Amino acid sequence: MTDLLTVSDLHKDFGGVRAVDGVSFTVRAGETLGLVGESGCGKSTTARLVTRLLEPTSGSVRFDGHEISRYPERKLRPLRRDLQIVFQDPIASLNPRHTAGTILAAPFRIQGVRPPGGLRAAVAELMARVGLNPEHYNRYPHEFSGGQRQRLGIARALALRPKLVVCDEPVSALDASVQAQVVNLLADLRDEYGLSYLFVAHDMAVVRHLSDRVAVMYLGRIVELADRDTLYAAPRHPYTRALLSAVPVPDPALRGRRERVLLRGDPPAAGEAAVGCRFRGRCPRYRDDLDDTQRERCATEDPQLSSDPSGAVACHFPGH
Amino acid sequence: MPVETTPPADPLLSVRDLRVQFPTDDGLVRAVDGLSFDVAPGEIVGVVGESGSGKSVTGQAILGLLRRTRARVTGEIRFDGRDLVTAPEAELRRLRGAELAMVFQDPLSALHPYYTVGSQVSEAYRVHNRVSKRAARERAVQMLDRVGIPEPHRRYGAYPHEFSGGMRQRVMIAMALVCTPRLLIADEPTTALDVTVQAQILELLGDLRDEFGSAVLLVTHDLGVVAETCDSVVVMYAGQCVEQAGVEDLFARPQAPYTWGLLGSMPRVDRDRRDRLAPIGGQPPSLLAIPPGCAFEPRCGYHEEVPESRCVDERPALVHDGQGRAVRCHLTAGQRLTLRPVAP
Amino acid sequence: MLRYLLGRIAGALTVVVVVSVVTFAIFQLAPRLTGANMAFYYTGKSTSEAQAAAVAQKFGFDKPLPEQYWTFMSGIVAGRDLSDGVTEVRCPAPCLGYSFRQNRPVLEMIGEAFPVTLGLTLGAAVLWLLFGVAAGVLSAVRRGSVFDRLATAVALIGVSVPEFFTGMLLIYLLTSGPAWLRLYPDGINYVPLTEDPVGWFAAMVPPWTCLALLFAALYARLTRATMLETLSEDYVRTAWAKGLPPRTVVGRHGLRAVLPPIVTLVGLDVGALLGGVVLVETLFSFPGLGRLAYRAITSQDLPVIMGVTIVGALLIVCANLIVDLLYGVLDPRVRNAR
Repeated sequence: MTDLLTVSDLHKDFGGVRAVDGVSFTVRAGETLGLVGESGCGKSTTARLVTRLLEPTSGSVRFDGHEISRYPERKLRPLRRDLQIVFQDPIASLNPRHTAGTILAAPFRIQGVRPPGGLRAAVAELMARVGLNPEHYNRYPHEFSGGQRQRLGIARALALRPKLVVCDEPVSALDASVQAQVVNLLADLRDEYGLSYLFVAHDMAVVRHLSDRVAVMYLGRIVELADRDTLYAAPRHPYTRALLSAVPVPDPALRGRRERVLLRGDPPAAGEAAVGCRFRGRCPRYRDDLDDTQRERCATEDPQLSSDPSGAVACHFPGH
Repeated sequence: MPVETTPPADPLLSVRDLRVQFPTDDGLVRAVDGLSFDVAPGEIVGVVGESGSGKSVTGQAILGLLRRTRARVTGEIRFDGRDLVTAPEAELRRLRGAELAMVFQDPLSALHPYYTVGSQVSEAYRVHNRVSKRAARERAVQMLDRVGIPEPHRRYGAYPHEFSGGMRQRVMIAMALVCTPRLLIADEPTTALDVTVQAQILELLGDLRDEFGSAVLLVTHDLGVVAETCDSVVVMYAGQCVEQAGVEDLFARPQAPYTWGLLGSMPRVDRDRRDRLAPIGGQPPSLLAIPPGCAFEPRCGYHEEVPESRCVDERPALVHDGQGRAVRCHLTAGQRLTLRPVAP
Repeated sequence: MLRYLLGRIAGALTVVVVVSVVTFAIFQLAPRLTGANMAFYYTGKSTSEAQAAAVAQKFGFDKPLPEQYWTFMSGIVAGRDLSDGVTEVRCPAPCLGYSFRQNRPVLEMIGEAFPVTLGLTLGAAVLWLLFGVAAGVLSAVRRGSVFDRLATAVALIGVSVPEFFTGMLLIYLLTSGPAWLRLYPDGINYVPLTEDPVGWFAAMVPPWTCLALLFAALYARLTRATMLETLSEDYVRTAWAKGLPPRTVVGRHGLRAVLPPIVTLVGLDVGALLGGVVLVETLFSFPGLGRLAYRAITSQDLPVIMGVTIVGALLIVCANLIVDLLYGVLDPRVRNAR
């Protein structure tokens, strides 16, 4: 597989606060990379940097052979055909004064694409494909339900058959029954069009369902990156283990029988703890399992993401 | 035709045929539409449903918080023998905070931004207890300590914005439990929090229930939270209870097609990954026009199993089996046993 | 908090300097552009050519503007020797200028007029706060009630009827209206507080009422809107859920949140009014700053106009500063933010 998107050592500062602090990953053609973490970990900022809605402070973003981290908007525009984003809040990302038809025709107009059967037919087909009634062509975003609006957002992103779609929490505002519809739709579209996704979300279960590989972020860094099955079956970073064990599971029979790694405290604000491992303050392994010399290493040495055949982890003393 | 039956136990809270309606310009919004369920003393009951199912409105109706709105509340909310729907405001006020307390979804907006957290907790204590300011302060510090606020003496004088989300929700819980109420209504208490913080708060709620003996009505959209925290569950759809059961029973042998759909919709980390989720088709009904028959019928895959299109014409009754289970569905018990999708 | 405080004070000082420059520039440049002889604005129309030349020389109208500005500003600190070509006068520090028409330093005139305006403004503010806020809170709590509708109607009238109309009506009714209303048969005449407190109070009541009527209406509307918004906040719902009585919910939790915007507005309004309540003072013939400015303008007494403008601007800046500081006290989030 070829690498469609390669991000290396990406940084983004907001007024002195490091939101993204040296993030590197690749998305291969046809695969879905999940990017998961809690609020403030920098995952959404990363999504915006990769799609160049934000300009990185430093680092490189290579998309489809182009180094786009410093591209001006003029040079980005033709690439946007292949690089699209779907946002969390469909109502905020759709112009309330435009009809569904206008919204979905915009990508064609902006890129100067003339679909063979005409614009109107292309839009109707697009609507049908994402499960919207093409007769609702003239409706405004507020006349659709939340799930339908998200379908509209997805249709807009997919209008020109992009190569990579960055999904930024695309289903977290939706109710469970509707969320499942949209998750299935995303999976179907990917298989049908051979899309690649960078799937950014906080929900471990949804990320697992859609991703081939998963990266876990904590305080602006990727702390673990591995194949989906490896990561969920045998998480190695103490944070990944805690995150996974905290996911509530709809099976009361497992209550009290699952491994529970309770973290103390809240995720700290970005920009704190400059020396050593930034997770050690909440790390159960640091607290319970390590001896003093090992702790000394955590306190002084910042663990880097190091790869081996089963994945990559940024921890001095990862689990098995 | 089955008749609505009452369960045998002697509940702390008993809601019968509760209706909450909001008159709007577009018509009557039926937020809660004939809801019945029970909460036993010391029990944690999960009220689970999607947005618009009426679960949050139910919590507010129990506390009488809808009295200041245009909402029309009818039916019966029996708490410890008293009917809260008809109780005079003065009596309700004596109960609020003392016997019935509430924790809300967003602790930042639910705490007053201009008062210290300590003063807000001790105020809650002083409303219902004739004690000196000093004694109330001591009690508040003790509660803050109990819910896990570090350095409670010092943090007593801090303002809500100086706390993290999880710590704020701890403050809310301290405030709600300061008078050791017999029923705590927790309205999506962890929805605004990160998953690792959610785990802490849910554990805290469980511990506090054991310590204070308060029953908890946990309103949530997350079946996972229910499974990990609750003793029994009320599943709501379009303002009605479609199923009530003990938590193990519900997840092991769900009876209502809507519950089947909810469970099938969830991606899970505790099971092997499926290639596709099994969502419920369509959208929840508009609360302005709830179908006259079964509210779930338009989205239900099993209505053809019921003869004479009863699902369309006749609203199913909530039928109790006498062992703490109730379900609102026209399918027979035998049909439900054979039709239920096998858990993957 | 200290950083916030220092930041605000530094900001206020900058504004004061800018204001003085702008005021000076406007009043010194404008006559030049229209081609009028500056000297006449200082001494009067009947001035002889020779006298005008002497004034121009003494004031240095031919010197570059920055230098003139500097002379003016240093006069505030050190005092100035001035002359209208006939008499030499010493204008002691702090010297804001000297009116040759009145033969008095401007500051002395302002010092005499200011207490009148201060009394007028503060008294009226107390009245409009009392009635405006109370009416607004009641309206919000009993939204849609008869009281609410009545208050809204009264507020609408209060906002739309101009001050000079209510003022003239008051003066007419109280001095020459029907006998039972003729409480001031000898007219409403200002008496200094230090001479006769009762007389002062009696004389103040009608202009207070006139001013407060307008502002009470504005404040009632603001309070009602803010209170309604506050009462739908989550933290007010929390207060109900605690079992607090309505009095406490509205009075402690609701009103507390309404305070910051009201305080802001009071500060700005009082600051602006202190610079001169022109209409009301002129109407009631009260010797305040507003009337002083009005008379200076009609007689083209430039030093007085400039002095009143600078003092007025200074008062607004001070009021703004006080509002900012109060905001820091009232809103803990502001206190920590900077």
